[in-house]
Amino acid sequence: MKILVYLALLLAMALPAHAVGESLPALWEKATRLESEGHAVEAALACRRLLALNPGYAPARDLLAKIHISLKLPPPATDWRDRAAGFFPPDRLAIGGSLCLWTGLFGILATLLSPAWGRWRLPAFLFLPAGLAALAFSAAIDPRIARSRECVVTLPGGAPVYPAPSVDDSRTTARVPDGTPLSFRSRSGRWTAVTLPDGRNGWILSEALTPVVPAEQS
Amino acid sequence: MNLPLRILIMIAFLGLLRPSAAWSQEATAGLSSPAIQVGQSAEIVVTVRGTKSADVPQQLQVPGLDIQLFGRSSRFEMNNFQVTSSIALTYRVTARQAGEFDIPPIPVQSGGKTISTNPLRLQVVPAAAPLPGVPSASNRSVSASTGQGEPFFGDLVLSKKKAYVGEVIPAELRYYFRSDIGGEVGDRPVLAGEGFTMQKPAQSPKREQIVNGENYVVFSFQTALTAAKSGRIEIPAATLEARLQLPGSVPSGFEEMFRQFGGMVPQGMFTDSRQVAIETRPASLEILPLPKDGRPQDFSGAIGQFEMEATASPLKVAAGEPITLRVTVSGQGNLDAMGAPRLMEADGWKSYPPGESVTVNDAIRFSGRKTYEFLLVARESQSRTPAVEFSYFDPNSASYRTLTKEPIAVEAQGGESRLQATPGQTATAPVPSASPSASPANAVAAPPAGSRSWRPLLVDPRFLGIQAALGLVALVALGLVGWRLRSLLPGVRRKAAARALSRSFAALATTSNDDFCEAAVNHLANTWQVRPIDLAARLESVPLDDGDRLALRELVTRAEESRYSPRGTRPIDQRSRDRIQTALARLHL
Repeated sequence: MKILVYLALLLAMALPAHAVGESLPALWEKATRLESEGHAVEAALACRRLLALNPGYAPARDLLAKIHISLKLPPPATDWRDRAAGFFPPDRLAIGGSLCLWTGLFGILATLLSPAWGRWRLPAFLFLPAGLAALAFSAAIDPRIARSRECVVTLPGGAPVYPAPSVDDSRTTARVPDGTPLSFRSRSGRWTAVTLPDGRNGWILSEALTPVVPAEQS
Repeated sequence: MNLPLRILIMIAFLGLLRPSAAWSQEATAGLSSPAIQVGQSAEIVVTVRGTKSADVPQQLQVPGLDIQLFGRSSRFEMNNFQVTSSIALTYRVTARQAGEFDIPPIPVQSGGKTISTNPLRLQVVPAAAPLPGVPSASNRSVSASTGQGEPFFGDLVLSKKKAYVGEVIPAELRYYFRSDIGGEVGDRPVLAGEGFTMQKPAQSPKREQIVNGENYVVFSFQTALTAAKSGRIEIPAATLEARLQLPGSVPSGFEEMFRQFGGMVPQGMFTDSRQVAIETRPASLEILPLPKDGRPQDFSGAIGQFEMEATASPLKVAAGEPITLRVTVSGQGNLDAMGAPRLMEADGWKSYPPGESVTVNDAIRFSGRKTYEFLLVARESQSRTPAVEFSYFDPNSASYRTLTKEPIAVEAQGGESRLQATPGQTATAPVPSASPSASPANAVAAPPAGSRSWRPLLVDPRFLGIQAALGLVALVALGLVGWRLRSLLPGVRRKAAARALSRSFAALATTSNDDFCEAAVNHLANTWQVRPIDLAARLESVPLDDGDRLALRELVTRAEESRYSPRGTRPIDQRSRDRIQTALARLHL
């Protein structure tokens, strides 16, 4: 048991190495203030960032839905990962998974070293895959990973989407209104390749986009 | 040079020639002009390669056309000592009536096999009408601009010379190669200019065409140009890379040698392989700005000729459920760049920016249809959808046109209680009311809890460092377990026993005479893996040399004496010790 306690203490020390610039209450205050001042796009971005840090915070989700209506955008999409991350905070899941993994591994080694530990062999063999599964699940549902490629159009009036990274090509694939969430694909100079909500691909000037998960901190 | 030597050289030279049998037979057909007027004639040239004889029908039955075979010629070609023979068969086509005629593949009998040419299409216009723009104009320009028998050249064919900013102008890049030239042609031509954009060229099937009486193979690429500014725009040459086998100069002496035999050097015997860049002729376009007069306020940016259709589904929905209004704009024009149609009188509906999809009918995205899907949610109960209006500019009539679709009858309950996500998106939680009193900011007092870092714990260096440290400890523990477990392995145990036997045998050499018998007996017991008390019985059952058996029997006897006799062991003499050691050495080996 002492080993487990020491492990838990060690893992707890690994917690936030890079704190967010704004605390969650500050982000929430910012979102509500911007929304009441009529800065809907910025308020939606603050809501998205808040939800990336705490996917289970329903008021932020409701406020984001309301802003989408005011911007005439489709309702914000949620998937099973958001719902799962609301139930299982990813960081805590990662700590639990790590504890399970090492408990299982060291338990197996102990049963091999000493016959006296033989009765713990089965639990030890169960802990190992459970720990691995918890770590993998944590990685899959963490919005900071799952939504790391999400960005929002923050250019007032929206942004044109081009089929190639050049304004020389007068054709535009579409025009996306500001506040629209897009999926980042790649970057080339001033241009960012994105996937539109309807699945089409195109290029947008990078100045028109703001990543949901701040790039310098992710 | 004397005559026999010349004959030998000629025979050796001819021996280098490879017959045409290695070539597969191929038949192609080409029209001298893709369009003619009623009463005029064109030619169809059927070229059959890899054969010396071929039969084709004397006439072809195509209603409205009179097609008669009137010419036949054989050609013997040699490219770098590779001999090919081909036959050209010429039909004369006379048009009796106007229309578009499909000339079916022409069957060619050659070498007991029947092969078919490619089908052809001929356009016949009334005698008074001008020939269609693109192809015939190009043929005239080709004929006028190229020299007789030029081995290769390029041509740019524009569908029009005057267009509007943003209008899509279909064009064709053509590269002509005289049919006796071999080689490889690049993937696609390169055209770079200012003031216009160009669709990626799409290659059309290779065809044959007669220009100035010469048969040419034509590689053509369909593309479309779109001008980005008004004024005169220069279209520079489009370059296509190719590696060609061009007729080369005859080495000195060969011409004289062939002349002495009464002939001349066969055409194509000597060729040069050359990398060439074939260019089309530069051209210019006159680009006009879109007129401001008569431009509708909701002009979509579409330029071309279009039609519009609209459908709605489902036709009956409950409160908050969306209706999809699907508007399809089809025709020819700038499908990719045009904007969406406008919904009219849509105050009672909540709508979102439409989804778009384009289905094209050609490689240059000029002809096709664009479908817009509007998601409509009724704010209050509605009995019909909004009307749809779409404005575009028609370059043919130089005027703006507006298409309108009347509303479609539906039954939609008002309200937002069950607003769903758009197709392809997951449904979300109920949308909160927009009233200030229900604002989440007011409703929520407790600050949210959650992650305190943008960096996921799983990729945090400290977390990963601890995992690595634990992994290192686990590796050490694993090594320890492995070390403990390895002594249990049969192989390891056998090797350890063998090493112990070697050590005990080596130790016998330095053992004193007093202790020798006990040490030797123990060694023997370990060798046979029996107890010392059982050695006597084992000794009799083991196959041994008689001398060795006697020596070992003496050793066992001495050991039993020392074990049971009160007088102890007799001292062993050096001779007996040597005998015993020799016997043990044999056993050890």
